[in-house]
Amino acid sequence: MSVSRRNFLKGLAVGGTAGYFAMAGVTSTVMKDMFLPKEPVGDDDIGEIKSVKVTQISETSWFNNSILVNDMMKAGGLLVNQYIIPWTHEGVKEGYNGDNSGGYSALLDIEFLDGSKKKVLFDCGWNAAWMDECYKREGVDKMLANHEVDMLFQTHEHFDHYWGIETVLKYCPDLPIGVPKGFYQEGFDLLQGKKFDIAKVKNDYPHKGKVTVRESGKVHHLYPGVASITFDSSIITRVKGEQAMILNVKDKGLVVITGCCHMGIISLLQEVRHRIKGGKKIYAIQGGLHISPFEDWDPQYDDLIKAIPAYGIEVMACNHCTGYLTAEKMLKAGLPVVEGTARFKSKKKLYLGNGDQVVFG
Amino acid sequence: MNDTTVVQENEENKFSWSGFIVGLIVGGALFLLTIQIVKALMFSLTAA
Repeated sequence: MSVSRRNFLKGLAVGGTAGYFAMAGVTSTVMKDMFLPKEPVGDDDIGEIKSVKVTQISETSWFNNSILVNDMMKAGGLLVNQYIIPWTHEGVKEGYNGDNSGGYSALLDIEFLDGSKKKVLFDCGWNAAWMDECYKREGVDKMLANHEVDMLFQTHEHFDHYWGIETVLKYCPDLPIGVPKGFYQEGFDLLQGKKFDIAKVKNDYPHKGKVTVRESGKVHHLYPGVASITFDSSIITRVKGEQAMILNVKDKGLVVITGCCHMGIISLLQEVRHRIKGGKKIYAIQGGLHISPFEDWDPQYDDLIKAIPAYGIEVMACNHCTGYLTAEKMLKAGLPVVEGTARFKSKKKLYLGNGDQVVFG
Repeated sequence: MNDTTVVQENEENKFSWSGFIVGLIVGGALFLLTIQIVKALMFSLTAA
């Protein structure tokens, strides 16, 4: 019995349609685990803490965006080694005594479940004189001198987060320091007292304490309830590697603290979710999120803002390189951005500024 | 002379089961291809 071409094609069309939808049904139900991989769930139990208070010593890394960007462009662009960029240190009207450099640094007061406490210095800023004034304002100079600070958690090697190291070591030359894998030799040389004339950065107080280099690809347990993850990010001005801190506050959840979040906020939150127990819901995030640091905007940032609510974040204590424009858009989208007080040369109240504090727990 | 009745089957509306079975397989394979493409796009890592 012969089959005509037309009848065959009709059968083919009916069968094709039926086959397509039948396979859709089967793969969505009976065989779904084979085709759609389950999202990994973090199982690393880092323990718990009672609370952490974050004091924003300084979040004003520089005072004039245009001047900073101009410095980088004149030197050859964003890929130029930060140690050979002649940064502007005078004649800046809104600067600190005419200097465009400021710095990012925070102090973490951690209280553990047994009532004991630790202080962690989170980054050490840029301008030595500015950082010294900020440390004195918050009493951090005395804390350092009295060895009350347990560690410097250095998120990454960027000029505005690390080049204020001289001010820290002036008060406490043997402070233990944790750095991410990726630190360049210049960074270690600065720690040992080297001077970089072009960039005008120096350290007259060679470090005498322990330096721990934290590898990427794993969760580092720092204290019970406190951990860090290092990312192998390649960052502008020839910097590599950034680490973020994660604290598990009892009855609240995970608090993620970043310096600049160059690895990207979604990448960071996904990594926390996939590695750390309880990461399905992030309670809070604090620090720079590097979305619009120069107050520019790209439509992809709108997607970032849309993606954030999925993590269930209840407190967004973001600042610094997050950008005021991002904060405005986040607030408009209903995200819980913590307001600041715009003191000590912080420009707007849109987010936490210099001298502001936030407590988790 | 005997008259022989010739019955001719009307082929015009006959359903082709062979075509149907081939279609089932092709349709199913097409869907699997679609899902592989969607999976690759959904789970590709992009830095935020």
